[in-house]
Amino acid sequence: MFAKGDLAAGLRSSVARDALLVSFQTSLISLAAMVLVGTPIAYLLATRDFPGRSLVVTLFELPLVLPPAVAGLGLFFAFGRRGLLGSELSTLGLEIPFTKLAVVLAMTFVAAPLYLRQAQSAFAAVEPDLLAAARTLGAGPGRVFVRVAVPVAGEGLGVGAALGWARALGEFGATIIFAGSLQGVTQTAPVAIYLGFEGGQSDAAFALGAVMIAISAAVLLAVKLLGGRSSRFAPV
Amino acid sequence: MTLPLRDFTLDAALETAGTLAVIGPSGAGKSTLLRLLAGLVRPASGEVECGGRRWFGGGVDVPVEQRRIGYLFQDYALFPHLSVQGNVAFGADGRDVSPLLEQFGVAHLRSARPRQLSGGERQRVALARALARRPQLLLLDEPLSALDPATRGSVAAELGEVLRQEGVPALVVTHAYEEAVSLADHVAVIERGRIVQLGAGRELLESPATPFVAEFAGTNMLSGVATGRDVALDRGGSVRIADPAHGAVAVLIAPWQITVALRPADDSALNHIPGRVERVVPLGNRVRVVVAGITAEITPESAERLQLLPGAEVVVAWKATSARVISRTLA
Repeated sequence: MFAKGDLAAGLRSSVARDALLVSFQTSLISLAAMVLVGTPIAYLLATRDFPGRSLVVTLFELPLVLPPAVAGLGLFFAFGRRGLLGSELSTLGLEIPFTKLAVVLAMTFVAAPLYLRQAQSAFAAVEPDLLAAARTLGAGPGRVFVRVAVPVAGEGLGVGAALGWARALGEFGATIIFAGSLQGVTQTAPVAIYLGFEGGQSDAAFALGAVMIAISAAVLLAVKLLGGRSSRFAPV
Repeated sequence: MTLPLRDFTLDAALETAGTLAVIGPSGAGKSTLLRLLAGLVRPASGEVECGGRRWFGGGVDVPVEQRRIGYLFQDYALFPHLSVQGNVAFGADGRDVSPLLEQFGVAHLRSARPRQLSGGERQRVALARALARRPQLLLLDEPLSALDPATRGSVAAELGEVLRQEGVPALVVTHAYEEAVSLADHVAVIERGRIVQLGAGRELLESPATPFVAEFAGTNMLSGVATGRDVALDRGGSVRIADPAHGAVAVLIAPWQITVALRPADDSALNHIPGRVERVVPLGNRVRVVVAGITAEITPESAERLQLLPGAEVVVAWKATSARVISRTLA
């Protein structure tokens, strides 16, 4: 049976510690990537109208409905050695599959749409007159974005980031196909849980599971608190 | 400049140096006119020039942020994440905004957030923010409509004073005649995207170009059919006019041409309409009395003497020579 001693022992095991380290490293890099790239894209999608806009939105949302394993296959066929971009990348000396970069790519591919959607609706909820006011006060598009749109949409962006990060941390299907499971390199916590459970190392698996539950609960709580704050202070 | 809208095309030509009030029914294109001047909406064609500099037209389209405008939005659009100081300093290019905060009496609120302010305070902060940019043109979209009636009067006086002091051309969209004449030297009336009348406030009252202007300014308009010097009113009864006319007409009488009495005076030059007092509204040093749908403007002393209260039986009267008659087929 699972007892307290097993949890501590499980967490001390090198498999569990390596997996947590890989998971945190890669998911935080992935989070940074989706926030840095996704925020301006979400802003443009929410505030500008251009031909083909709904097509772009649909394309960005595709990974939301795609089974993660299929996403992993897609990434493999795009970036693999014999993939669409693989030969160009390998002449540059870049081998992506089965590296940490592959883990980050898999996580970002699957989790970014979640952030993008949330960020888009956060920007869409910003009173258009606030952006117009900033422009009449001499702010160019970049300054309007940084000084008005992002801070006003801040709480919604925070919620999106929390959800995106949680999704990246829990990514399994795309990661195991595209990045494999090299302990200390590409083996993330969810992959380690699966393999540990299958391979009889259930101490590590359960310990990792407990950590993941704690993190998920913390993220959910943070989202609720952020959401509660924004609804208590109605926009002026 | 012109701009096709859903139901009509906005087509306006204006030139102004002082303060111009823009009035019109809702949906007439008043706010759109301001947005066109600001550059927030692009006209389909036309020209915008300010202070000798071309903002739009002939291949030129100066972006909003490079037009030096002070725009006051209807609900003020204060940045909720910035303090009062932060809001006012936003467009100030690093200039010290303390004098402005002092001038508008919001210096003690400098670190407050917009949500902590009252309506009147928000309006002053928004105005200070717009002026901090040192605009060449002020665009005020219903600057008083977000205020409760109690504070509106005092804020209107303040705003009028600021507009006179700044000496910057200003367009003020408003929906109250009293506001328009207290803030602006001239009034432009927009209906369905067209300027139907442009003149001093008094002109609007005395010779309204359309029924909307008459109603807006508070001019009394009685429609009827004229035969010579008699007009049979659509509402029943008849009145005398000074110059003979024929056909469908509107008889326009300014509120101050109308007297209120308890009994009809024995004077054939006067038109009389008896009725009950509907409303008594104090308006500065005058009192507006509405009797049987007709608005009279009298002194507070006469109102006191007549003991006018809603429901009282009185007679309103005016000289035939003080009414203006317009043909309704043209109006």
